[in-house]
Amino acid sequence: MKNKLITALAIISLLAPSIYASGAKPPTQVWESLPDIVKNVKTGWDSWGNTRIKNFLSVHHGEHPRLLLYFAFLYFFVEGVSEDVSSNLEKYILMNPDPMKPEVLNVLNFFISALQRIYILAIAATALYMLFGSLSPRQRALSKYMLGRLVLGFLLVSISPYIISLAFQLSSQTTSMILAQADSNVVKSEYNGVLFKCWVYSFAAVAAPVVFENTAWHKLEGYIDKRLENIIEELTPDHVVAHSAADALAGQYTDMDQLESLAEKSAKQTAEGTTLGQTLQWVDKIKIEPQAAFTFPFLMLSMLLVFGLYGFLSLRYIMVMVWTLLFPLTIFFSSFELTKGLGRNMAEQTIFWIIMQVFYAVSLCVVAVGFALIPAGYEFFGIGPGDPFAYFSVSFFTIGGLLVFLLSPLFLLMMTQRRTA
Amino acid sequence: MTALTVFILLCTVFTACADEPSTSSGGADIKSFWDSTGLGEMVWWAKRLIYAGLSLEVAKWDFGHLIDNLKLLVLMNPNPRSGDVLNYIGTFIKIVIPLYMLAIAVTGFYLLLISGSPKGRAKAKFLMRDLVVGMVAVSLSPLILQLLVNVSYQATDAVLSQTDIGIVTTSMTSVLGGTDPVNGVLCPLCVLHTFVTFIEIELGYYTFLPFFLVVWGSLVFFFLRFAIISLWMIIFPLSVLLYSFATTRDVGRNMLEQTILWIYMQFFIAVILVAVALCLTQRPAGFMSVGMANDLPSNIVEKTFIWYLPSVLFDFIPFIGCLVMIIAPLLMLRLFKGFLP
Repeated sequence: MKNKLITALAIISLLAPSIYASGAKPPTQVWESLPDIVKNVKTGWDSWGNTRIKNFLSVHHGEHPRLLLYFAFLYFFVEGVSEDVSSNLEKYILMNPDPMKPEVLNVLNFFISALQRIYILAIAATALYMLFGSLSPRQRALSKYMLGRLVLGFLLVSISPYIISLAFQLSSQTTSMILAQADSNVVKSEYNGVLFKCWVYSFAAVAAPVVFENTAWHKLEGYIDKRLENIIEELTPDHVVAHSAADALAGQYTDMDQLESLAEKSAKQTAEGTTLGQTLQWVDKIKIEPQAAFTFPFLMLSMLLVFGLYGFLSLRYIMVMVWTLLFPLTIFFSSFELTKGLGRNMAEQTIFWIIMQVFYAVSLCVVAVGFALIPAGYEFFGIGPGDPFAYFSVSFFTIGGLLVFLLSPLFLLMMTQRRTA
Repeated sequence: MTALTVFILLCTVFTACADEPSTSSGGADIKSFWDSTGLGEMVWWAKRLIYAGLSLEVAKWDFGHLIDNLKLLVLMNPNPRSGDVLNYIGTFIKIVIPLYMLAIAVTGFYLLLISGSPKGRAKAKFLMRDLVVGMVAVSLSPLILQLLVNVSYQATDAVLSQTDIGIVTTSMTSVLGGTDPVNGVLCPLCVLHTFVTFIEIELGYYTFLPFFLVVWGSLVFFFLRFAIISLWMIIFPLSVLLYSFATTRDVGRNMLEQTILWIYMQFFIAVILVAVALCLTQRPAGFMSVGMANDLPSNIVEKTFIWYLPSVLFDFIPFIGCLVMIIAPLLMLRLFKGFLP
């Protein structure tokens, strides 16, 4: 794509002077008209290259090339993201860390071996208490119950990598089954569409003032300038008379050139005071300079989409890894009455972050179905022009649907929050 | 302050003084000289270059310290048995112990002289036990805190030793001109910041913000934890006192929970760092790295400047890892609250 763009730019640059060359007479023989063509190309280049290109490169410290470069890189970024999303979205949703990989298992084994020692101590202490220190039947029953829980906890901690691996497999299988039901291409194309349309609007926001200035605005200024020149021409003789009279009264002598110059100057001032002169000043004042800042609203929307997707998926991957490493501790805390609450919270978090991928898949399905169910006529109801350019509209339905998909972790969080009251 | 910083500061002062002259008040000649020599153009570009360089320099102040001493920063704890912390704890102990003695005396008098109902006597006995335990705990506050800190330190150290957390810092600092991979967090941010500053300087302000988050956010977090632990350590005797009475138990419980949670937060941070390091080693190539090219530059031509920018990939895993580390206190305080009886 980059090569294509550069090639296109090079071709346009090379062909531009030939616009002027096209004014040459139709040649009888190509070689006969060759000097004329060369001459015309040179004239065209001098005129076009020295004015347009020079202006293009030099206006306000090369503002136009800088803006073009900005849009080129924005475009490539959007293209990179959309390519990545198109080919990897499902893979990213299905991605889970593998607890059986040596690096992860190494850390898990560290926790497991530390906790096993504590379990063995606790089991030994409880057994000794049962054998030698048991007082009442109630206490004996409690000790037995405690011993059972400790042994169970010990076993669960020892096999915790397999348990968490099983949980990942279950979650992953369910997610892939749900994803198979959804037409994810609809969501992907809508996502990419919004990114590209945001780019188009950003470009338009900057390009529109430039185009407007060079066309209608330029013509309006030219028209008013011409009218003002006429007014000045009409007013000048009267002002010559007025100035010569004033000089005569003052007893001064002024030569004719100086008199005309003074008269023209005062006529110009009078003309500038007229409604037309004032209009020209206002036209100049309300002129809009193209700035990259115009792109901010659309840039923000694009960044929300990019960070919403990649940020939450990265967060999930990291948090799943964190709770995988803490899983032996989760089982350990759940084993004791005092720390049961803590263990339950940790277990909930482990489950929450694992099943988030299932929820992502469900959201993807829902949003895909939702896009298909948008009432007729509302597909293009959103930001953008109406007919005949309705295709370029960023639909509110699309933005809403994509936000539902991107913010699905927050919905899951709200759903799974325990009621405090 | 490095020589580079001094140089940049001097250049900034020079270019700020050498502003573009106005055409009014007889400045037309200077302006024409300014335009004809190209000095105005040079100053315009130099200002942006210096702004980009200076802001990057400022944003990365002490980043080297963070990178070199990440493990030490995670393991950093105030010592409750030395210095000012011990003095302040001692002051609180001196305030709290007389209150305990008064409470014990009142409960003792109640038990000895005002023998109420058996229920009242039993309640007073329990209270007496709690008060005595509380007073012992308050007296031993520095030792208890030292024990908590030591256990946390050892556990954190052990967790950090399980894997090489250097990969987290390496992934963040893969810099321009460095060896592969050219992705990372700070490298794309540096390139982006410099690039957009030349496009429009206002855009540079926005790209400057992520640096605050990544570099200063992490550093501020470590020192915030240190300060908050010092605070909870100092008022630990008061927390124990409030936990001893039924009417103030909720307040005391919250304070004790906060003390424990902030001390053990370093363990949680260590687990997060290890998790991020494992994520970086475990993930498939290109996972959560996004940019303009989606592939790394493979040859010397692609590594030249013009092709460098499109080849930079923004890596979300270390970036989000930093964010998780910064929001870890909120996460921990929300998840683990209410664990004390």
